Amino acid sequence: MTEHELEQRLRAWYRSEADQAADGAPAALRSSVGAIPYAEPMRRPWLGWNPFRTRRSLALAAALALLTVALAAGAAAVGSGLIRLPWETERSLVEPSAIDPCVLMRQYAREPVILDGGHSVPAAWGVATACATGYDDGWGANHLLWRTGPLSTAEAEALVRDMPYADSGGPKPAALTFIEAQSPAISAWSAVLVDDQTTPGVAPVFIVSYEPYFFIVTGTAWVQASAASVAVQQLDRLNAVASSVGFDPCSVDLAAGGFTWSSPTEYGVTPELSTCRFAADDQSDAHAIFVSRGPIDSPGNLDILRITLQNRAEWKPVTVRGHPALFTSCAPLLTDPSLYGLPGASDYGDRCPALIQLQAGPQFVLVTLYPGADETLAIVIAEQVLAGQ
Amino acid sequence: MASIDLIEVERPASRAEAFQRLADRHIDAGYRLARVILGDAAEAEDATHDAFVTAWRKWSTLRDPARFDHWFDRILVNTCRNRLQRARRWQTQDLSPDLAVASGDAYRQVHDRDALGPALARLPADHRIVVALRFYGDLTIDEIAERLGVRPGTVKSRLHYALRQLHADLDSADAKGALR
Repeated sequence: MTEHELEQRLRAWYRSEADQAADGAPAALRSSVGAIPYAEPMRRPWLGWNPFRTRRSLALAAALALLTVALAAGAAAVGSGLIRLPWETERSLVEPSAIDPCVLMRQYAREPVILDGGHSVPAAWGVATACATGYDDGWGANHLLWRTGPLSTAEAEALVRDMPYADSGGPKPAALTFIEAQSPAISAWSAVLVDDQTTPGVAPVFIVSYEPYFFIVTGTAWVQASAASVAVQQLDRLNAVASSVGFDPCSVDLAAGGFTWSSPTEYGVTPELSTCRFAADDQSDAHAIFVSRGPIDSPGNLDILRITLQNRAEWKPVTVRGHPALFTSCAPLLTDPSLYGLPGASDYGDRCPALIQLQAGPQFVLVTLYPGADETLAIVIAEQVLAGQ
Repeated sequence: MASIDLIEVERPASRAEAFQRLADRHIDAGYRLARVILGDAAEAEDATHDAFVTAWRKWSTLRDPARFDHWFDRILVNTCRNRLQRARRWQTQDLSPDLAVASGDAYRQVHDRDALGPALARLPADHRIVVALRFYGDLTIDEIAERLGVRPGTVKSRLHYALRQLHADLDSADAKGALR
C-alpha cells in the first residue's frame, strides 16, 4: 500500500464516520451546552485583574493584603514558639509508651454535661468503654475521658487546653465536647476530634475532624455561619501552620475543602477523592484518603467519609470506605430527626441508616454508637479496621 | 469572525448570550471532530460538553474573539486527548481484525473499514489526534501545530510515526486476509 493509498483510505474512513454524525450534535447535547452559562461559574482572569477598577475590587485587594500580613505574622508567631498548636509536640520530651492498639467505644448520650457560661447544654457523647486513660503529648499529662458520665467544666477545659476551639454555633454559648488522642508509638498527635452538636432546636450539626495535617469539616444543610466560621478559623490556622513549616499537604483539597459559602447546601466536604502522602516529618508521614461524593445535602452523599492514617509506627492503612454499616458523617440529627425537630430532617432519616461512626488512628479505633446501633457489629468492624483490613 | 461584537459586551447576561450563540454556531463541527477523534458517539457528546464547559470557564482568556474556532478546537482536542488517555488505561485488545479473518467472506467486504478503525484506535492519543486533524480536518501541518500548541516539527514527527504504524497494521491485516 502506498502512502497515497493510505491517505485515501483514511479520508474515506473519516468521511464515513462524519456521515454518521451528519445530523450534527444531538439535541440533548445542544440543550446542555446552552445551559452552561447558568450552571457554571465563569473564571475571572487573575493576571488581568485590576484591583483599582472598582470599589469592590479595591476592598478585596485591601482584604487580601491584610490577610497576607496576618498569615505572615501568624506563621512567624508559630515559628517563634509564641503560639503553641496541638500538633506541635516536642518529641524529645516524650517517652513512647507501649500500648496495644485498642478499640474505644462510646455511646451517644443526651445528658446535659457541660456548664458553660451558666447555660446547661447537652453534650452529644458519653464514653462507655476505653482501653487508655491518658497520654503525654510532650507538654504534660493529659487525660482521656473515656468513661461514661458527665464532663465537668474543668475536665472539658483540660481537654481543650491544647486546642481551645469547639463551637456549636447558634445563639447560645458554645458547648464543648472534645476527644483527643495521641499515638504513643510516635509521640505525636494522631488524632484530635471535635464533635459538637448542641443547642437543641437551634443548632445545626457539624463535625470537625482534626488530624495532624489535615482538617475536615462536615456540615449539614442547616449548619450556620456562626458555627462554620469557627471551623474556617481553624482551617486557616491549620493552613498557616502547614505553610510555616513548608508543608503542603494536598493544599488544593484543603483550600477547596471546609466550606464554600455560596449556598447553605454547599457546606460540607472536600469535593472529591483526594490522596495525600505526607512526608514532611515523622508525625506527618500519614496517608489520608478522604472521600466525598458531593454536597452533603444530597442524600446519596451521606456515606461520605473515610480517613486512613498511616505513620511510621507501622500502622497499616485503614480503608473502610463503602462499608455498609459505616457512615462516618451521620450525625444524630440525621438518624433521629426528632432530637432536634428541624424541618426537613426527616428527609434524611431513611437515607442515613448507619448508626456507627468510626475514627481510626495509629493506636486506636474510636467507635461511636448511635441509638439503635448494633454494638456487636461495631466491634467486628472496628477490629477489622484495627487489623488493617 | 463575526463574534467580536458579541464577546466584548461586559454584562453577564450578554456574555451568556454571546457564549450561547457561538456555541450554537460551533457545536456541530465540534461534535463531529470529537466523534472522529474518539470514534464513539457517547464519548464525543461528553467531550464536546466538557469542552464547552471549559470554554465558558476560560471565556476571559479568549484574546481574539475572531479566532474562537481555533481557540475552542484546542480546548476540544485537549479534552479528547484526556479522554483517550484515560480510556487507554483499561483498554482491551480489539480482536476484530482477527475475527474478520476467521469468520468468513462476509467480513471481507468490510475489511478495509474494519481494519482501519481498530488500527486508528491503537494509535497513541497524540498521534490519533494529528491524523484526524490532517485527514478529517484537512488542516496543514502549521495549522495543526497551532491548534495543538506544539511545533510543526512535532506534528510532522507524530504524523510520520502514526502513518508508519497504520501502514504496518493495515499491511498485516491485509496479509492475514490474503492468507485466508
